[in-house]
Amino acid sequence: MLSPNNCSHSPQTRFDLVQVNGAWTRQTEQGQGAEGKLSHAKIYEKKSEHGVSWTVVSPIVFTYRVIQCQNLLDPSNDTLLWGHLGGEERKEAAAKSKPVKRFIVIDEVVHRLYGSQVLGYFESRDVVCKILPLPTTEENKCMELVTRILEEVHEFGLDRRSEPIIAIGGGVCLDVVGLAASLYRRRTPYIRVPTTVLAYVDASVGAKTGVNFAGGKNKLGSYVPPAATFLDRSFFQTLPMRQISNGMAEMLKMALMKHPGLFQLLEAEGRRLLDTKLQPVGTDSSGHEDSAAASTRIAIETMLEELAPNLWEDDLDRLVDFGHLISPELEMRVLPALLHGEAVNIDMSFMVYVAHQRGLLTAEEKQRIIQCMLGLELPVWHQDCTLALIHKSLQERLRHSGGSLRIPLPTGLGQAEIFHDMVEENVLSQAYEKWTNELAPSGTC
Amino acid sequence: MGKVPLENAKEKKTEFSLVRVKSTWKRTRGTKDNMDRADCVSDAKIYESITEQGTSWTVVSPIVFTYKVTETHNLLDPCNDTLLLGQITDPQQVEDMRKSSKPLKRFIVVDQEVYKIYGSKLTEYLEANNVLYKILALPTTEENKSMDIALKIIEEVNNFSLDRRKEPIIAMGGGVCLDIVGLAASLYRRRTPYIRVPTTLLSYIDASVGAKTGVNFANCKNKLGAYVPPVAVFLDLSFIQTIPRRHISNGLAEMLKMALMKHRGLFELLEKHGLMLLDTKFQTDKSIDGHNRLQAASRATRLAITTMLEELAPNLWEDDLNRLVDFGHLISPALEMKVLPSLLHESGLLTEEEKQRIISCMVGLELPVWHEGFTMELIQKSLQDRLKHSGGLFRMPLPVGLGQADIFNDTSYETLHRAYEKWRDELSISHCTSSIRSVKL
Repeated sequence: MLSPNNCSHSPQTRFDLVQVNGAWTRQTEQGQGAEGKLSHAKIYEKKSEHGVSWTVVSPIVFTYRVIQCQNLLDPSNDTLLWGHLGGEERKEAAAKSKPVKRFIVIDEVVHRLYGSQVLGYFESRDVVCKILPLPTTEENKCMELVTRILEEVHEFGLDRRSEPIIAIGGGVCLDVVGLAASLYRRRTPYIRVPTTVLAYVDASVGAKTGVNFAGGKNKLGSYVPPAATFLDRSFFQTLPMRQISNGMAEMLKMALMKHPGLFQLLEAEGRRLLDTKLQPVGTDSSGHEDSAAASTRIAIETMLEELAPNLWEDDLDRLVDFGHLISPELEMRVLPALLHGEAVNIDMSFMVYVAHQRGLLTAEEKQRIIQCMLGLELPVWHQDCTLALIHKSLQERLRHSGGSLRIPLPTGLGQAEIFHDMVEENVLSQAYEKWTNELAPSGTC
Repeated sequence: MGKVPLENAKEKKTEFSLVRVKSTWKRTRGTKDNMDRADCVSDAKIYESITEQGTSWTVVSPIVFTYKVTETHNLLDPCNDTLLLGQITDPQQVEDMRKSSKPLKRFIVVDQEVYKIYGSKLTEYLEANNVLYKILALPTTEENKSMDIALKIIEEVNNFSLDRRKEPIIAMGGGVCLDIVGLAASLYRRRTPYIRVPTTLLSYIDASVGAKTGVNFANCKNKLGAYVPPVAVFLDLSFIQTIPRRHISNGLAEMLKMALMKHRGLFELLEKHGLMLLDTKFQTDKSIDGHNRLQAASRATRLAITTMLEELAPNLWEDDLNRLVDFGHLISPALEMKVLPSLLHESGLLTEEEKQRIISCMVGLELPVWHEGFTMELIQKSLQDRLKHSGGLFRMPLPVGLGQADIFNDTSYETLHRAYEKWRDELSISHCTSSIRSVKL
């Protein structure tokens, strides 16, 4: 979305917008400026024989916080209630005498494990709350679930700006609540508390919300970020191993695309991180950050780097799409056999073979990557990921990306580039053959 | 939204800029070297602070919304390519597309009633321009303005298959149609470009030029929606000629609203030419008289639009709940405007003469100035609702003279009550003999 171009044979006038006594007025740069607040928005006016044309250019600044913390559900920890506000605002809000209200949507499995702690937190702080447990699975990630949430929120009653909806759960939960919040009153602030590794490093830190539609993953949604995301690794303790691996696939994705250090860490310590479920290992006398903390921090930093400059996907060239060209089709095809991260990993695994086939990766690099994936207990091959499915996915990608494939491929360990042309047929089939020959026995199906 | 984080003395905040080198974004402390070597520097920033709890990041990311509002004549004349290319800002691209023989693809949602009148003209236009099209004619009324109809549109769009960025959905109809299609478009693929073609006077000057989209929910108006503007709005006054007279009155009410808030010149224009505009339905012919009418019609609509754009552009996502355009929407859109001149006079904001001028103008535009359903109870309840939904303040926009306004939070019930009584006394008797129509907005 660029500033309007000047057509050389038709002059435009640029108007600034100034607010004086509650009313906005436009004025030209040459015009006498009344003293008032100046907006960043501009209006360009152009006259022609057909009439007048105005172009409005209006920047909207999205600001959100991503906060790591410990013991989020400990009643003495302010974060869950006020962490979305800055220091001054926090004091003002806490000082108000009106009772505080919160609406919480929580995944029903998470509710069984943490529901009483969540309730205890709010009760100990005299918060009027409503907790809504829902089955937030990929299969019911649809508009009906959003409508259900909206009905309950509407009945509960929330202040338009100062009482954010809180979402506690995995990616599906966060996506669904985010969409509901962005629709209600056209925008309602919301907060994300990811409880899975996957949501922690992926779903929670960007702007995307969504639900599936007509068999297509995330076909409906919005780009409205939360007011804040609160990251507490202690939720991982109650996750099954499979879910931890699932999340680490997204960490590996970021490592492969842009962080050699993170790749080495996952290569060397992946097993241990899995076994300890990414929990802190107690204080290290040297004061160094432990590898679980480092890996999650780097995963978030690299993700934020890629998302912040492209929050609304103006630019369809996105490194974070690695692992997401084939996996949407695969995931929906075998639902619920593969978790999201597992499908992503299978996609990445195949693409690593493509990269090698094209001479972008050496055989040794390819090996190291696959070994790392296996060390993280991730599937590296799947019988339903056929050459036909791959072709179909790449054609879909071409169709939805303005005619250019925009395929991210690793060009070394921890670095990558985006390629625009369709991958040659022979490269695809040779890569597929090698991938199947070498990995089929060790993959899961 | 919109605020840059304040420095907190206890936390050390590091500001990072974001630069792209080839395909990869990197954060940097913004040294000149780093910036120079980059292909691209983002406007977004990341602020990092480290505490014993862990690391915190604050992301500040500006998104620029750009859209065109373009007047045209004979939008459906096959020689006029505005409908197909008017949203493109790059003149070179327009030239290229004009020369290209590749057929364009368009999905058009048309209000059912509008389709009955203009459907064949639209079809001829698309055929003559070699467009691969699908027209979806739907009944778009206040009663079915719901998520279901938005989803129905999305289903059809999904089956038709549009390029993600280059093939905007076109919406043609009144405010309800434009609102629903806008919402459907902003949900599909998280954002799909769309174009608005308003066919009523009301939507021409109000619904079409801002960012709001929406549907009703739980018996509340516009409870669900988004703030995603269209890529373009195409304004053709000729659609107005098939609109019933009382709907044109409605549209004129909206124009009067903007005039009272912000533009004395527009008020005077409506005072002088309002009836003529109503009689001619903003249409012109080639006579000299027609030329004068064109002047008044286009001047009036242009003023209405520029004053509306002035208020909307700096507050596209309603960060600021103080909005002059809310004037006439606090209590009940269908009824509110009527008591206001008395209220304003009662509050000392208008002189008796000014009050009379406004009421005469409203009568001249055939707007109802009296309604027995408009009781003190209704006023009080609406103001309570306002308080609830506007973060605890009335935020009542009121004119403080002809064509100037301010936002008030402290109008007392006593003042309102006196105004109400005066309004009732003055207007119910003098107008009970004239034809009273209840206008549904």
